[in-house]
Amino acid sequence: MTFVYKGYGGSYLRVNLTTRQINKFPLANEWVENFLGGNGIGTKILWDEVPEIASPLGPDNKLIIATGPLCGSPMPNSGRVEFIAKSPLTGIYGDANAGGQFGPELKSAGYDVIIFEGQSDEPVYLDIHDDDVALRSAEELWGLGTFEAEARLQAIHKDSRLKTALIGPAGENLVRFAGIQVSYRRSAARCGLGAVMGSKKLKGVAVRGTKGIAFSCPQELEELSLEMHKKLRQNEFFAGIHQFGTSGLVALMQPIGRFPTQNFRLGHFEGFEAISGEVLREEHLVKDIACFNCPLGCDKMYSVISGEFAGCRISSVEYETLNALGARVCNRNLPALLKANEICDDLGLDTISAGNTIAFAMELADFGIWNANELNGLDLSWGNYHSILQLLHDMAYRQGFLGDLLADGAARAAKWLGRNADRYAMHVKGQDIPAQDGRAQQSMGLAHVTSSRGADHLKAFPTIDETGYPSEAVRRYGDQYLPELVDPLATKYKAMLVKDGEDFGAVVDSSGNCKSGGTFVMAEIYWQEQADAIAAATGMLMTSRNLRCIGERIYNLQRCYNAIHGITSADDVLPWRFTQAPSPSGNARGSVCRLDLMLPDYYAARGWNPEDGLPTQATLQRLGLDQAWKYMQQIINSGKAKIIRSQLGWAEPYTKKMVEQE
Amino acid sequence: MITVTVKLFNLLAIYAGIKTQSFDLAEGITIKQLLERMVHEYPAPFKDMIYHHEKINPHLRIFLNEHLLNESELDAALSDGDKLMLFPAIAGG
Repeated sequence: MTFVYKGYGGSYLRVNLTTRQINKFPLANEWVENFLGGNGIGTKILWDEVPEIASPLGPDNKLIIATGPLCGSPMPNSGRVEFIAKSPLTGIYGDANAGGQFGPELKSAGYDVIIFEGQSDEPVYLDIHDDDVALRSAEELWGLGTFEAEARLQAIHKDSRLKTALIGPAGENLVRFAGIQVSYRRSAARCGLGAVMGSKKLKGVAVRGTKGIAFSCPQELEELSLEMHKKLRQNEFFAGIHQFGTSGLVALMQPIGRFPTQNFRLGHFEGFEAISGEVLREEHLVKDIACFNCPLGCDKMYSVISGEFAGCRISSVEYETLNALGARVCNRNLPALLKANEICDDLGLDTISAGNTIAFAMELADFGIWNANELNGLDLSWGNYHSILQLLHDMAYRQGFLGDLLADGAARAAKWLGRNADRYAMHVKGQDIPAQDGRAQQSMGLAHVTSSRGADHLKAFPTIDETGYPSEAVRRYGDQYLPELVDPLATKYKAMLVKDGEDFGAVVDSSGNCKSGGTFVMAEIYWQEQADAIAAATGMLMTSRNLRCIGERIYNLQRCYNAIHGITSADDVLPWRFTQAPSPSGNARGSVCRLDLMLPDYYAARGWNPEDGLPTQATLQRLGLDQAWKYMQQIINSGKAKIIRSQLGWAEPYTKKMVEQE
Repeated sequence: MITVTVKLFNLLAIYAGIKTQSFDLAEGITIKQLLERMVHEYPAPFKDMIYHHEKINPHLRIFLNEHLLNESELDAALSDGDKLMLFPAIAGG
């Protein structure tokens, strides 16, 4: 079948690592018509090809790398690439997304998707130079950090423009929150997909693409893109985000009470100024940098020039990392925090899960739950940054009892340990909770439990109610939902906000543009603009209505995938701290996250069964997913789903009433 | 006389050239009046962050003792020891 649309590379690679066979196929028209690209196509392939019984670290799991129709286009912030697989951290649907330049380069070589299947018996990397595609030995790269491995590959190929997606030692050692590092120094961090690569002995992908991308209506796309670039630069949020990136949020989150501190005991961090975006820029900025075709340039290169951590050089120091390796573990030492970020990126660890897992370990130490001989001499007092750095290293290499245990993540470590450790593992569906306290922003609490990849802010990415921007809300939803929609502590209309964000987010992640610039935080690009851009790029008949349907279809299929792993409404829960212990911080003081009020609205808005929280037959039929409904029912009714659920491996989130101990 | 501490963040601190300032104020002064005074004390670009079409910029975020204020609360009188935090338009993460 000929692929008929423009704006795509037009073909995909299927790479069998067991047999070393590489096959090239035209992209399927029905894939892009129903699932668009990136996240959507990855979800479709995962559903079709990775069965519920497949082990995340076994040969039957597949790693899918996918770009979308706007990746590499003139549209602003169009450098995103998706990685999709069954997650070794959660055991359910998993994905991770990164910016940088890898995605556009892959597309320019002519490929939208790579499917890796099977397992190699020795380390390899996939070498792509336009039509020349080969698996090559990665013996000399195995064991290297991602920084050196990238440089070595560029040297081997004598090409400094080579773009890579690589794992470090953490992925090789099957750390369940190992990420994938993408050129230049961007992380597809979440869900432990680096460990999927490690299990396949796949060190990475090196790509050079020189073909370029042909668009259906290049002039129309160019005009639309220019208008979007202009609007972004005029947007009220542009200057502040350009100056500080996401690190500028550290200070703002203090009075809101949304800055997880001491493993979420608090929502504010005394002395936060020491790790704020303002200090980061003043004391450590080398230069502003940007991902592919991004006018915003929220990325920065930083360095440490003196003191114990002199020589540290690191980019993409995000709000999430400043929290996870800062406040969450009570670390006020910014150079040490930058060093921790550098270690994570080089060894290939997700900074969010790494920080959350260390915070879990520190809280256990605080309550005397560890036996002294288990700590290998480490002092796990809050804020001990030498121990933090040592633990990152130990986890990446699975060294010692503690490193090996924590390399499985807080939720699994809690299960292995027992001793009531589950009370201190802050996770949803095995996924570490990122830096949004749902007590301070109700919509974020809901977003964490409804996210298809476990706790996550980026699936729904509700931002208009962080501090409440009525003008932004009116632009998207009119004034009918004000004032509740923008009140961070209100629960009314938050189900609608989260559902819309998830559907639109699925489309953005399937298109190849970015959630941080223009699609969510700066609300210039929404359904209509995205549909117009896709139509101009591809020649597809695309309306905002079609696009909404695609977003909903993708998100529902992810829920179905989780359902065949036994996930139900019983798993849409937050740990006790968020629903039982009133926030002690700032604007959120006294507040708890009211999932009980929001979830029924959410299931209703989705057309999901209010009892089990699963998509109904009518909903899936409306989305053209009849076969998915049948298969889901078959697996659930056979009892298989329950068995798989019981083997996911993580401790259940502790949800009973608890009182904070001093 | 009362003393009020103001903390400025992000672009506001850059344009004002200062991160924290204490103000000795007459009793009864409101938040809006203090903003007006700051606009006169700090360099010109600061004003554009505070006002939009002669009204308080709707993207400005003001916290009084960690309580997020809406526009109707800006006419409230300040008290001795109050702490204000001011942010320009930022969101995300």
